[in-house]
Amino acid sequence: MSTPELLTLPDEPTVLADRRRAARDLYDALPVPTRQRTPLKARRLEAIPYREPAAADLDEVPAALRSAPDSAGHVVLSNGHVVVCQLSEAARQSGVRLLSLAQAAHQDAALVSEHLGSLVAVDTDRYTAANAAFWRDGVLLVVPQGIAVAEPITIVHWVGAAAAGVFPRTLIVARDDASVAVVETYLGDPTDSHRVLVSATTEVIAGPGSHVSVSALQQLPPGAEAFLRRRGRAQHDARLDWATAEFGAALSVAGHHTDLAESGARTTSYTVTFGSAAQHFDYDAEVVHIGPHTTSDMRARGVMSGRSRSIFTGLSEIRKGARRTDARQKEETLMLSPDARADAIPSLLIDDNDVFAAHAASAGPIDELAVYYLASRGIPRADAIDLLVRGFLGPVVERIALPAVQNRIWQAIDAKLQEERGRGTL
Amino acid sequence: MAGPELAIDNLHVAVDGTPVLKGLTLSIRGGEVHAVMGPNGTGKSTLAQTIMGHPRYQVTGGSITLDGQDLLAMKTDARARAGLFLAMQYPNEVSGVTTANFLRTALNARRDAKDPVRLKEFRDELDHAMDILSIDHGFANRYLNEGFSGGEKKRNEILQMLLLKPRIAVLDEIDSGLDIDAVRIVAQGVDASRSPELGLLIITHYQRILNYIKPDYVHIVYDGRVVKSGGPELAETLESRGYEWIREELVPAVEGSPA
Repeated sequence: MSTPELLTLPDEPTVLADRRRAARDLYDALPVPTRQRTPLKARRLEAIPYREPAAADLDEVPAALRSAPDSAGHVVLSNGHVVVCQLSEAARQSGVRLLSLAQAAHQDAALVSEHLGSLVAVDTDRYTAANAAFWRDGVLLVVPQGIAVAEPITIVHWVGAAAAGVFPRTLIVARDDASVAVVETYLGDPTDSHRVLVSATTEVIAGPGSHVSVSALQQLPPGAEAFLRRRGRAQHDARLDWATAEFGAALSVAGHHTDLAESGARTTSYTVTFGSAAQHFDYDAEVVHIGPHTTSDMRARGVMSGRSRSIFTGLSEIRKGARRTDARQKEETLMLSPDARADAIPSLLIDDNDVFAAHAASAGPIDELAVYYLASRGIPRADAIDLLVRGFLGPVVERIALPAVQNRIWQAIDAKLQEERGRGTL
Repeated sequence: MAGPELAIDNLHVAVDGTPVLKGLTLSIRGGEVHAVMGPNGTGKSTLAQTIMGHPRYQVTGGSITLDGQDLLAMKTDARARAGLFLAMQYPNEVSGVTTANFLRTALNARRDAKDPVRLKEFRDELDHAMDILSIDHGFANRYLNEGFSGGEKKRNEILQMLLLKPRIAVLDEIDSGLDIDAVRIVAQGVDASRSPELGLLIITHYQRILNYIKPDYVHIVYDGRVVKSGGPELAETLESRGYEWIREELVPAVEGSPA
């Protein structure tokens, strides 16, 4: 077992250094978490040395990812180090701040220490503690009051061949009536199968009347064992939209959690999953209605092939006093193989009377009669299944407001389907 | 090339082990319209689905060939690409797949991968076919059959036939559940596709659709066999005398007791 050194960043304010030390103690104290349907102990995650490479490496990142001409801002992290951080002139002039978290920690220690770790509890489990103890860098985005950032802010987390442990953090603060879309992608070389532990944390503070959309596309390399935690807090009349997609990694324990903290807050959550070979996805989508007149709409669709395994746990919690809330969730899985397994576990926890809540979950194999119908028009079986898979995922993909995110998800679906054809499983 | 020929010879088919077709013989050539009529449960739809290769129907004897090619050795999609078409009685609803995308995929399945159908060309042809069938162009972007009424589904089947241009088309109860105007529109669509290069097999319970699509031959199927063949007048006889007539006069040996 390899125990990483406690990291302190140069010029790190005492308050942050103290938290890091406390997180390190928690990391040592916490056991490998027990998840009901994900046998983590058997994966021997402790055998992976939890070390971020010491130096930043831009060369390792494919050139096409280093810039994003259609973004208002673009950040690239290579193995946890910020190697690119660009912000458009227009955004800069309107007061938007986009910077490396390490830099922000000493430039704006008050803001960082107020919000960093305010939503994702360090003691959630051993891997959130690892993130809090060992993070080297990340992203801080602050959108000032009343500012609408027209183009998305894109963040690329590149996990390269040199990485053994990667622990990035993202902190998004949208002030009153601000509006911004953030797209985080977790990427690596699909032919790189060395084991790497990734524990990433994203926190979103959606101020009163703000509209924040966060998209997260997980296409990590096949050796990655990932823990991706996202948590947001929507204040009065704020809107927080999530679009998440799980395609890569060997293991991904991921999820997003939204607190609808004050009246009128809204959230939507759309998740697309495509598992193949022996991939294992364990996803938690949670929304807590705290304020009255809050609404949530959670939808997830997944396709599972090979011997892949998915668990999707949806939770809609309505606290006492959150009257006149509307909470809906729906999870559907399409099974391409008899050896794949999917569990969708929707749950509602309701502690107020004057509410609307609904949940549904289903899983089933490809409709052979539909395949026959398409075949009767000359479409070969593999093409028919390809059409049906796209048709199945489409209604959730198309709910995502950002066309760029839709396109990226379709590209990821294309790649997955291509892979399945290569394996001859379609 | 010579017109198509579908030859069904002494066909025996079982469903879940129960024999349904018991030696059916029928032959259709390009330019001909054949009607297969008969009471419910005599094997008409079994015939249609067996020709197309539905996995539920097991052929236990006999043969089906298209231009001498053994259809039974081919998978459903290969049969379709060889020129066969089945307008289904109950078309599937396919969620998430638009009618236009589906049809384009079906057309491309017949072409070289390097030479897909051009979008403009496809759209024009689709619009034209939709006009023949009085289908609103907006249907092209709706999910295939999802939420379509019975009549819309039937029209969509004929739309597919017009675009895919089969050489042998089997229409299974294409008139069932349709009001008289819808029957006329569907029949117009079928009529628009008639040519020496297309052989049509119309399976129907009622004579009604045959007022619009005049058959050259009428075959009465009973208990898994063709018990009588004739010209269009046979359909009229059937209409006026009903299926009881078959039971009583044509197959007394099969049906022991009168109704």
